[in-house]
Amino acid sequence: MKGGWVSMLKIQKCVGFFAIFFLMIILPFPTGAQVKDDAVRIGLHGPFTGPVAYSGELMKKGFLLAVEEINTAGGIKIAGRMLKIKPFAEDDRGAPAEGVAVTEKLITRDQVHAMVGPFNSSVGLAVAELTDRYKVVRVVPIAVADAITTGHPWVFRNCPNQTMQTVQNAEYVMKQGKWKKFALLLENTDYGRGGGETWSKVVKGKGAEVLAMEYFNLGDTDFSTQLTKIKAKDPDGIFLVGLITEGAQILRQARQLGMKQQFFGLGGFASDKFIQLAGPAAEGLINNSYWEPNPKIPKSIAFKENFEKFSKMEAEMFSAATYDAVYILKEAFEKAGALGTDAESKEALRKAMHKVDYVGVQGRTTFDSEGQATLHVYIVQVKDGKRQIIGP
Amino acid sequence: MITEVAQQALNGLVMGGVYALIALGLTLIFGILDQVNFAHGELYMIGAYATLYFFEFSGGNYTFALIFAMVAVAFLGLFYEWLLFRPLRGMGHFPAIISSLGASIFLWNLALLVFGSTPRQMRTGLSEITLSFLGISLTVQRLLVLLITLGLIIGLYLMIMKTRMGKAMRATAQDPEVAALLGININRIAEVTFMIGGALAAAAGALIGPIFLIYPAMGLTACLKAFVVVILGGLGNVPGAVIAGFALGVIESLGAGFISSAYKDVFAFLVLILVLWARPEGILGKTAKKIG
Amino acid sequence: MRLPLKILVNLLILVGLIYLPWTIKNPYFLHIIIVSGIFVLLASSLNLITGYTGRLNLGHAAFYGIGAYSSTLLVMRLGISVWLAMPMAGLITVFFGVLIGIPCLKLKGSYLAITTLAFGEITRLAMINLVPLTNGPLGIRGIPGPPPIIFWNSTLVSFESKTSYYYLLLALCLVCLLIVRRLLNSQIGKTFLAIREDEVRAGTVGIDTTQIKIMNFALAAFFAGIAGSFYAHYVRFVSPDSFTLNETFTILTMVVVGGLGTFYGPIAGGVIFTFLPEFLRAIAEYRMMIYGLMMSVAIIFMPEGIVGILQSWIPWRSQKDSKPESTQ
Repeated sequence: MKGGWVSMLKIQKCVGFFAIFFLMIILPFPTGAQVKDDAVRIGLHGPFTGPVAYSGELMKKGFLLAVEEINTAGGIKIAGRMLKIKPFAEDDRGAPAEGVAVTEKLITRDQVHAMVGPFNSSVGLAVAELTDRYKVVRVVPIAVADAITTGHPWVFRNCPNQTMQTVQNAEYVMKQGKWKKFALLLENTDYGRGGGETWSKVVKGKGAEVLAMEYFNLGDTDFSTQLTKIKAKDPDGIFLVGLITEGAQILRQARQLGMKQQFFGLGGFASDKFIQLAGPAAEGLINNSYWEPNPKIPKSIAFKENFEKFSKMEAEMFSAATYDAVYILKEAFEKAGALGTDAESKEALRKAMHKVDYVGVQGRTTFDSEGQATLHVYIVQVKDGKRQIIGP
Repeated sequence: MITEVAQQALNGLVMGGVYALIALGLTLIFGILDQVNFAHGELYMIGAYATLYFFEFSGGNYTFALIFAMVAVAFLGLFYEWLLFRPLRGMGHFPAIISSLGASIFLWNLALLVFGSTPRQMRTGLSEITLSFLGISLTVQRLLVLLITLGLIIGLYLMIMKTRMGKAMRATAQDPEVAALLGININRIAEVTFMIGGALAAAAGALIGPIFLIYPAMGLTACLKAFVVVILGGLGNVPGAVIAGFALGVIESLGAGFISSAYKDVFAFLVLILVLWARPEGILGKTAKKIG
Repeated sequence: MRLPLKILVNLLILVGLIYLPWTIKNPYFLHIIIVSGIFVLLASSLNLITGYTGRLNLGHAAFYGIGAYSSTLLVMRLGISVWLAMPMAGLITVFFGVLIGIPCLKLKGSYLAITTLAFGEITRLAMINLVPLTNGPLGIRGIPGPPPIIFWNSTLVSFESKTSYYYLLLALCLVCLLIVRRLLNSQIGKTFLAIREDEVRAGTVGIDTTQIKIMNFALAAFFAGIAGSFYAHYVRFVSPDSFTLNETFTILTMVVVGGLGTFYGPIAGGVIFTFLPEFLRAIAEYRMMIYGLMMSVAIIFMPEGIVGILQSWIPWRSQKDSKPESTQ
């Protein structure tokens, strides 16, 4: 039985693979002819799969909402022509190597005129180099590592960077005067390590003690080891740098271990999804947020409504920042008055970015000489399952 | 200090129980059928997801979910036997490794598509109740893990030693040719073995699910650790798998707690390499294939 | 003078390969070809261990990664020229290959597989955690490409465009594959097969299996290390994410479906499985699933792989290669 039956299958397999082989040769691969500049091609990449897929999805939806709004209103006016935006979105899985690969794809295959993203600092650092090398303007809406914009003339950021928001957080904490001894639990990435170093420097400078610094890896689910060590040191407060999946687990496991310390965090936790994941363990957490619906900024309220209708998801800072990023690019293209993948057009766009003065859902955005926007963060606390603005 | 050690060790025992459950199925497949199942971790992973779905379907009945998950994955184990292993029986380890490896990749990526990559939580409420004594904390869920693990292990042991099927399994492990001559239906034995392996792995997944998160790739590390346990305890050695499982859990926890938490996963591998260096056939080796 | 058909075909292919970049205008297409070249090297090196000596190495991505990181660190920390760093990285990888190979000497079958897997994971975790050395999960960026080749004050070849990288890789592949080919046809190559088929008997006929097995690991490590080094200076960025189990599985799929124990199998596998995702972009999410499925189906129904099947159809080709009859 085996002999005859398998041979038939062998033949079929053989034919199948030959077919694929010929398909490879016959099927036209994009020949690389210059794609016409009849639309503004903007590429987004973010972590659409993986532990922060939810936040990545928020980014994508914020991006697409902005694109839809702009296209419905006619498009971007460049040198007298109204051009629509053609969006491209790729998944970088939150991994730096993948970020490099998709950036390469977006620039060489899809020939985008500008880029938005990424989310993770580690990806941002990896792609900054490539962005400069290919000379494509990039607006980073979320990743905070300082070095992403510093020294990279083609990379701009429309959110506060790591130093800005960490210092703000640490100063707020020390100003309250309630906590003196801290333990730090940090993501084993630049986001975590960088944030931890800055924060501990500031609090130590104001007289506090740092009793422990523990680390965890992205994707970890068991933090009992690190938490047990921290528990043994008995700190007043714990500074946590991570993203929503790990952060939620950490808070829950800490409470399960009977730990009652005050937790502090950065922007990564400003998300309703996070509160949902962490449940009652999130109560009392003090952290940063780049964006909250703020009655003083009417566009932010309108955005919240439109976004929720468009995406069926809660409007959060990840969507708000990415949304603003697209509008910022729109203003830049209009000011530049040129569109193209040639050196001149690209340089015109880059120069125009420095002239941008845009008021959006995050407030007023302008860029300094390094491409960093000067924005402030809110300090929020989770009370009764909702984020309340308690500072600056 | 002692409290810290005790806490870490207790955490380790809980994990160890889970490792033991997964490893038991693997070691049975090794011992009885001389085959390697690299897709075993996926049984664990699907067990966890199945429990999640049954849990939500039944409106929060954990027991119901646990039992049904075990049954469902037992059938998955059956499919494993029919599709991946029966065609390759008797051909040594290599082809079975590759075929189950391929199945593993297929399954966890399928899970990625079907369930999504965002990790899921299973809130049984038992994780929220913490028992503390002498400075050591244990959630009810973790206590449950220990109890159910021990229960299943004892149940398995009794089944292997006292029932006819168990006897037949032991006979096949000793010498499959003679067993066949004696009229034992090897196909049936293979099926039962895989079903048991599946059920046990599913139980492990069901127990762990509420403690940590459920995500498609969770089977990979679990499978690796299970292999380490099996090799340490001896291929086919049931008590060995149990002891090695608990031991590994504790070693890992203490090592991560007092040496380095970043290298937590490495401890299992280091132990493996050290043991194999000293005894390339594993602690007990092939000469003593002991079932029961 | 009538040239034998085989040599003519080989020459034609060579000419075609040299001419290739001039016909391709799309830099992305060339990028994919370069990536497939890297995988050809990786798959061929894995094939040496798993296809020819029948020992399953599930930690192959570690060799790839060690080569990449070594080359990077040599160039960026010690200021060594890329041209020198590449072979040095290969040698460093050989060192680790031998280091891993020695404990694995006495292991067989699944024990070997798990141990190599363990080594692979340990290496990856080391990359993530030895931050002062490797910069951890962030990876190392800004890796320089090879310096331009200058002759008499004028730049002959600069590595600004992909074309130069393509030719470099082509040269590397040709050299490596030639060495492998020569080796496989020699006595040593036959020893590999002997070890795969029946190691005990091989020992009784006087073959020093220990030496051969180590040499086999060392060679595979060298080629994988070179591939890693090229990768580092081409993409100009390395991070632990590129050297995971997934990578090893992809390479393994290339070897198994391409043809275990055949010379052309890994080459076909490397090319096919690099191009496939690009053509199946629409079903990109199903990629790994398809790989897994193919691997299982292949080993059950066509263990000789694509090339193996093709060879059994064309009699004159099947002299030099061998199909795995039985494996441990």
